Amino acid sequence: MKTLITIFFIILIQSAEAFTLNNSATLTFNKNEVKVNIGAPAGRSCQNLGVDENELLSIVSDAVDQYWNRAPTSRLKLRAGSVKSVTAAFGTDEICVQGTSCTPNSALAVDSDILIVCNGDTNNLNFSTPGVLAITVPNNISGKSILGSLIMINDKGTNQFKYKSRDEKISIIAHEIGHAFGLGHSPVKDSLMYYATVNMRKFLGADDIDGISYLYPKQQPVTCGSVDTTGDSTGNKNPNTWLGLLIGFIFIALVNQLRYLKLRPRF
Amino acid sequence: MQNTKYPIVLLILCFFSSMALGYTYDASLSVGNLCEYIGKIQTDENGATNSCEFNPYLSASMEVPLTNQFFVSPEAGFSFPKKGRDENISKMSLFLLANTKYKWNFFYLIGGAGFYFTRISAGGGTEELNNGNSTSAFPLPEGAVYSRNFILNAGLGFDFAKNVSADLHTYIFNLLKSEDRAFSILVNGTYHFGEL
Repeated sequence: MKTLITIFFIILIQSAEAFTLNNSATLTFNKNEVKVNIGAPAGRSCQNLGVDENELLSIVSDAVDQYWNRAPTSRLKLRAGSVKSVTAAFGTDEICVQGTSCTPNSALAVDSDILIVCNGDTNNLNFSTPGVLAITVPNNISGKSILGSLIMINDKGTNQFKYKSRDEKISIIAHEIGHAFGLGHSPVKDSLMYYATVNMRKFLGADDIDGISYLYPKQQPVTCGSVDTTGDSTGNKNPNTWLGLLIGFIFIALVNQLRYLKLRPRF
Repeated sequence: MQNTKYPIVLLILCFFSSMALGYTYDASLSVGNLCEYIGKIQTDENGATNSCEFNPYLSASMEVPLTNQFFVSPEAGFSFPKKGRDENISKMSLFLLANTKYKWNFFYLIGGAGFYFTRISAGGGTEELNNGNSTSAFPLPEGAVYSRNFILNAGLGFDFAKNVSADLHTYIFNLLKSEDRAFSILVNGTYHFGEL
């Protein structure tokens, strides 16, 4: 691979407009709809969060609907997926290989989409302090595409996530999902991607909308929304130029017919 | 940069279709303010949302009469590039619309459709930002990207004088999808140059 990709190990601490990216290669999912699943590690469910996997999935649903899916200029749609069984390592192991800036732990590679797991951090390598609420790494990459991203929520006994209100949990999960699809932090407090949480988070900030639109720009069709001329559902671009030209020429023909009407100039 | 050739072809066709009449009545130039995505963006840490920010735009249009009261009015415009609160990111909007106008004396209703392009650009590099208990150098995007929305336009206007009018436009994004539906409001003053 010609491009050296640096993936950032991004963490959100509890006190969690120009957007930044979470990697140096502008990695994105190569599809328009991405599922956010909850992982249930074998033999270890969410023990210390105060919510179980199903409640976490409900929070995910609210997070994507209240925040990211509202961006009017982005084509990316995030959907709450399902609770999936994963290996026990997801509940205990470190997200990055020890001793590296963040080489993703290959044992935790996510096959597709986004996976959220509760992690007890057995070796104390993921969450340096109780205030670190979650960490996210796109950990399955092919070329410039993200195949899968992993979000780990701090499920140690000392975690601060459990003390958050439901609205705060929603915004925390939404923030991590932002990292999972390619965004870094924002320097502006009113942005969801600000590094720390704020008390009254309700909507995306301008930076957030710019960021998701930069990575996943909407490319809407030209036929009043009834016919998708921009490609198939996998995001492949195959513009139907002939349909557009046909519509254009019909329009010209109609206007030509109107030239015989009596005209009244403005002046 | 995403492929923008397709809508540009359509725009050219729209202009040619206007020219097919053999007349070009009234070219005009508008200056106004564009209020983007009203009520959709959080503007402070207390949960307030946006209303209208200073975001000037310029547009040019033609007005071609089809009947005594009904006009076709293709329009092209852009908002001035702005940096926002971070100088690393620049943003501007461009729009190409096929409007119609229905006039009663000095008032007129506006309806139309077209494309709304949002251009977001940055020069690359990194920005040092907080990340957990320390800081990291986060990459900034490099290059420009355009998003393209098909929008509907509804509005009204008033002819103040022979050469001067004022319009209020509402741009409707994603009309059929409630989750990302959005509205932008534009107010402008227009100078009419008359028949070309």
